[in-house]
Amino acid sequence: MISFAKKLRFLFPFLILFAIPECAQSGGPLHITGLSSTNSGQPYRWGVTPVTYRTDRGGLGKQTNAQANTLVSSAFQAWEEVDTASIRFQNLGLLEQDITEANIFSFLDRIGDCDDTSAAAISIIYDAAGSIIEALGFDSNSVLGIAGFVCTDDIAGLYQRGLSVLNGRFIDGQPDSPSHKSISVAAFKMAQIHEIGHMLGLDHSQVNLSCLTGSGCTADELAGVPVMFPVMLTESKTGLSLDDRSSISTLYPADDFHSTTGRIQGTVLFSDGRTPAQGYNVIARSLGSEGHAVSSVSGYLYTAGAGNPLMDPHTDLNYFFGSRDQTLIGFYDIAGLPPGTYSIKVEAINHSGIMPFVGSSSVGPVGAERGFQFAMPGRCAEQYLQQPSSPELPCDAVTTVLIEEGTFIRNADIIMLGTPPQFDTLESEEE
Amino acid sequence: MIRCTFSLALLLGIICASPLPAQHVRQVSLAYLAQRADVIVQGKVVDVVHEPLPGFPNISTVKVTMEVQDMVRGPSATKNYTFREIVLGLRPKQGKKGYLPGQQLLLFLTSPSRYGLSSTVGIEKGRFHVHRDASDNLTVVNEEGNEGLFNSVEEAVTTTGRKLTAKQSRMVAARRGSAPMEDFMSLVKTLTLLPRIR
Repeated sequence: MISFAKKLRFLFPFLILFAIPECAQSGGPLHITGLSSTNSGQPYRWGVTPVTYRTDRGGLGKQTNAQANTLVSSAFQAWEEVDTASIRFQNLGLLEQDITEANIFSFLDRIGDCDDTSAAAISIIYDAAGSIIEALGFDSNSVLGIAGFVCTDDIAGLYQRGLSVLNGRFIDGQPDSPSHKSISVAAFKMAQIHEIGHMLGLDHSQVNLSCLTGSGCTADELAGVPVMFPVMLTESKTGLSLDDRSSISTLYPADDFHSTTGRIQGTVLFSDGRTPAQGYNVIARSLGSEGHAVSSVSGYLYTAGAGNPLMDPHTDLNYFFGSRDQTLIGFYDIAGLPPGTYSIKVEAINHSGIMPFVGSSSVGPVGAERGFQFAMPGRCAEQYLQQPSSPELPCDAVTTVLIEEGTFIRNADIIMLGTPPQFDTLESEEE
Repeated sequence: MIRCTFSLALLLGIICASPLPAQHVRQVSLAYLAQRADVIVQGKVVDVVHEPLPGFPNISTVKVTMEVQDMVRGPSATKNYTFREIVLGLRPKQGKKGYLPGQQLLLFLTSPSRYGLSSTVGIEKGRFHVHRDASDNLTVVNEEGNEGLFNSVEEAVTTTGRKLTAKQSRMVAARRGSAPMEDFMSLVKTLTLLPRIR
């Protein structure tokens, strides 16, 4: 076991702010096509591979330009090396000029012209000491960087141009203090891998939450914590987790992804067995490989806005993203499972404590838009797929699932035990 | 290529500040907001204008004017306070994270950059909505449901030489959810006695 104090030593939240207010976040894809699309309920992705990028000409904190370029290149490479994913990148070299506080706005204005096709798909800006972040009006002591999308095709659900500004103030060699936040270069690199994950279209995910909450975490479990976990637990992490590899492969599948791995889909339901439940974390965990697992959030394809039974009826939030197909409210989808025998667990998304996964660090659509996460609504703090389900079953009753290459299991529905019948009762408890 | 209606949609990576020293946890607490914000203003949104940053047609901003009810920190004797944020959302005019006329807000803002842009410290954590509850009492809640907001606040108040009042203690103990406006504002004003983080 790893001591709690050690775990927290490098603990800091990525707290990626999805500053896209209507974003339908999930434990997998970051954005889901909505009403403007001819095919709503589909994850956004880059439509052209390789995805091209250019990097800035200046330094980044104490990092030289060459060192910064290496850092960025290795962060892209971490995702490219997933052999079950098809995503590829091409470094087109340096931007035409060193982007600084003096020219950031002309640069943003230029790449904001989406009819001009001369720009690389992704521009990486090195903010040497945080002055660009400040020029944009942000708090340079708490904003590690800015990353996101400049141009999108909302009909097809495609990303077309992106931008990342890295705040070198955090790695300028000054000691960490309340007035000057600093992190190690290794932590900064991990943060960039995480950021690039978002730029590829991935949301946060929750696997091995106990490594954050301190209720117990083995080294194997710590290794299984995704890079896309909302909080960085260790800067010694060396690569992507199974959950990360599954997420990127699901969005950009290699030709043999689904034929060499297994997939489980189903719906999380309240105890009436009919009412779907959005906003719960579903985890497939291989017996014998306990630390490594793959997750999905129920209802991740469904809008967090108008039409959602979760939403306050007095709130007119016609969110841009997300499907309005109510059959998707409790739907989960876990792909990329190596052959093995699995348990399927449903649990709450981290909803309390020092770092609940809400807002900027949210997992799934509820925490992003409602500012809270649901506790488990019934008599079980966590429970498993149980088929057939019965109200009298103990919480730890498990129906295991055999996964072989190419296995695709549908309708693995999970009925939560001893819950209120539907959302309304639950919501009044939360608010 | 289809152009975003509101050009710039960004993701911010935040490492939160205001550490819990014993645990090296960095998070934007109310103490950090009070220490870091250059402007702390509570009032009513009276005007919202979505327009490009002057001189840059592809950079969207929102200019917000508030009728000041309580300027805790910032320009004094100001009836209205106007600030401009760069727009980060694809559809910024909608959603609770947008600004709408009539909203009652409490904002912890950075001072305008030399390009005239501000934003709330901690982004969603620094933007509070003021509502009336079922008992007609004013309450305040940020866009993260006040989650994590009160971490380390009691210790911070202690360093000012004061103690939490009984009402403030109950509010802090609740850990999340809407807080009573009066108790919250008194706590904010106490926390502004802490040394500024600049």
